[in-house]
Amino acid sequence: MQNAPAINEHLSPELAQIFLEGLPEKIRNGLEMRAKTMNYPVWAVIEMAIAGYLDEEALSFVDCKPKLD
Amino acid sequence: MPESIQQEAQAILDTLASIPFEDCIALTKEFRELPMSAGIYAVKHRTLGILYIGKARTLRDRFRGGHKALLWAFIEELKATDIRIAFYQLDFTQWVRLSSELESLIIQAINPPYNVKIPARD
Repeated sequence: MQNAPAINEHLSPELAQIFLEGLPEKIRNGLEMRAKTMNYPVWAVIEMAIAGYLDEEALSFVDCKPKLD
Repeated sequence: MPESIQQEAQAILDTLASIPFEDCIALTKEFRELPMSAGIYAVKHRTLGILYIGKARTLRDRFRGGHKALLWAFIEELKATDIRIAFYQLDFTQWVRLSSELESLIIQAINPPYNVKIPARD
């Protein structure tokens, strides 16, 4: 049930792992802790964080409507 | 859209609607009773029913930063003690499958008065 999503608008777990490894330890730990608290995979939390930065109403890239000035 | 998503949206709406007003989360400054997780929420009025439905990555943060439904309620001079929040946490599989469809399906189903501006985003 917890497989990777079929829709390609989501961040891939592999790419998320590469992002994660490039982040400062404190941020990486924070994201991993948050994922554990929510019981979501860490790629989902990274996706939410990025989508939220682009569009505060967005839960995921699927419904993200970026407004970049 | 698969029928199963519509059924799930209806089930979530039924859950939100059926939570008795007294069991919903009262308005506070910190909203500590709201979870730090993703979900669908309803702003409810004691007698007017559901005023607003929305989705949030972090339910608590959504309200801590101020919410337009609460501002509109204030402008309409509704009493803060007559407004509470019901929520439904989205688990991971729901988040993946439903995050964009759920809100619009639920809004279409009951057309809450304070959601009037939502369609303008699309």
